[in-house]
Amino acid sequence: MEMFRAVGTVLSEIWNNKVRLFRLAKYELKSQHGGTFFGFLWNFMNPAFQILVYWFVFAVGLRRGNDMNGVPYIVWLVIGIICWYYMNQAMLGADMSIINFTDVLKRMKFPIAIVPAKTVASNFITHLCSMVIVFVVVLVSGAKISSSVWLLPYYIFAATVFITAYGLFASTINVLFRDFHNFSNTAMRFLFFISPVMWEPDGDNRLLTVIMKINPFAYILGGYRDSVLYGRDILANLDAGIIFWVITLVMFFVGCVVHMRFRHKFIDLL
Amino acid sequence: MNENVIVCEHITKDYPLYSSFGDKIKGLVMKNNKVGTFRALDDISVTMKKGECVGLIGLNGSGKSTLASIITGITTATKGTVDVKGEVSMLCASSGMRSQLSGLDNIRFKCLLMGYTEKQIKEIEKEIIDFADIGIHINQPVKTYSSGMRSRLGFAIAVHIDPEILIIDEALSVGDSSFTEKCLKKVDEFRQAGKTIVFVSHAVTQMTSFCDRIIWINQGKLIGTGTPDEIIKPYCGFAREFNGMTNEQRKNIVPDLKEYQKKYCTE
Repeated sequence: MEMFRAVGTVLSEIWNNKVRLFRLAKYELKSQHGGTFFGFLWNFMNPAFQILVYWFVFAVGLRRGNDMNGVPYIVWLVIGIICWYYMNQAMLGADMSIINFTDVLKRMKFPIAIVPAKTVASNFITHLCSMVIVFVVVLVSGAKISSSVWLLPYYIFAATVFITAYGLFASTINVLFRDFHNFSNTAMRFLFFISPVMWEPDGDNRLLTVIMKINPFAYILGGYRDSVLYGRDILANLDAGIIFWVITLVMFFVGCVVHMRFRHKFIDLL
Repeated sequence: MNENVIVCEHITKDYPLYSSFGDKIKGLVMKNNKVGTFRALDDISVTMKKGECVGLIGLNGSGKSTLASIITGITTATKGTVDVKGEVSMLCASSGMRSQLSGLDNIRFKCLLMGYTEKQIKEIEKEIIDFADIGIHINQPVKTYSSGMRSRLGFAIAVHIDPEILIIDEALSVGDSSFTEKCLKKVDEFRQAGKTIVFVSHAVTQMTSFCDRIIWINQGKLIGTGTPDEIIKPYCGFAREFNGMTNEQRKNIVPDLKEYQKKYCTE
């Protein structure tokens, strides 16, 4: 019972504040780029430069020319990197969001559940800008955009729900146990290498294949590429999809319960 | 006269003092886990009436701000009940400012934090700008502001919200005297409009001229309530004596209102 009430409270807080959330995110971005000449354009320039660096290293320097199922490696890599960057930044931002919002929370009554959500929202806006650059890169490189590209919003949505669920849980834990951020930082670095961001296991290694199946990041990364490049639909990866949503929902439920359970103690602990 | 809008009954607030990390985890997870506590408020019962202007007075660390946060609903009491009728807002000049944003953006941002819609913000924006009176700097990032300008902006924003109960926590001690005057005028408008105001401060002069009633708290205990004349002088006398005390004496002192009234009010 407590669980459903907690989930209900969190969901309604986020839903009732959905407009406010994005407007808060807007100011967060504005303050990030405050004092720069290019301002909001940085949301496009950052991924563009990032891609340029990877292109230089892998296409010019290391001359990794082998195709990934008929797609140039660099294109395959770029989608993975941008997708990973979104999840990584949003997760590490969201888990510190409540702590970073202390000055407001200590002085105002504020629906705390929307704090991690607004951090996710600002990363979401940045990510959409990055995806524009990704599409430009794909087109310029001569690779074809598949007909399943309409499924991309689903995968972006799935990634966002996953991040929000994590953010809710982790931002609460971080208030109680501040070392958590350092652990999750390290974990993310490790996950970068066991997720198909820069390479993909070739199927010989059973352990790695299993890890890829249950790894939620692998599902999202695969989904981005499937929809943009390979034209596979959701059913092609149904088992991994079910595992992904089970993990995500469990994390969301646990996140809500922990968040509501400790919410009234937050202010004294911040 | 009027109905009670704030009723606090037997409020006690304990802050846990965790001595080790393991302690903290135990204290958080287990209910009724015994850890050392610091009692910030001890059995405080106060009521405030609609339209009243009440001053909360006390030395540093006496629990004024804790009580104010409990009334606002930011934090909860360990024991006791708080019943507040109407919307409470704490007026805070400095929190929620983003130094990279311009003054104007900060106005919008802070109004947004307080739950205003775009339309409402548009409506009060100009008024806030006029009130803050920082001229051409309004479009400059707040990081370039002097501390006076900063707090003027903060106060201008805070004062334009329209709650039924307003809590002012040390906010008027900012800015120069002409700005303070302007603020007091604005607060007076609130009073005329029948809003309940709680002043938290140790600026006694403002309190004397402004409040209908003073509540004196010392080390988490309620010492007494009364009109400014009944409380302010004994409080000032006590504060002076307190300055001269050794740490040992300070620890155990529980001022008795009657005694201090006798001592200082007849002078």
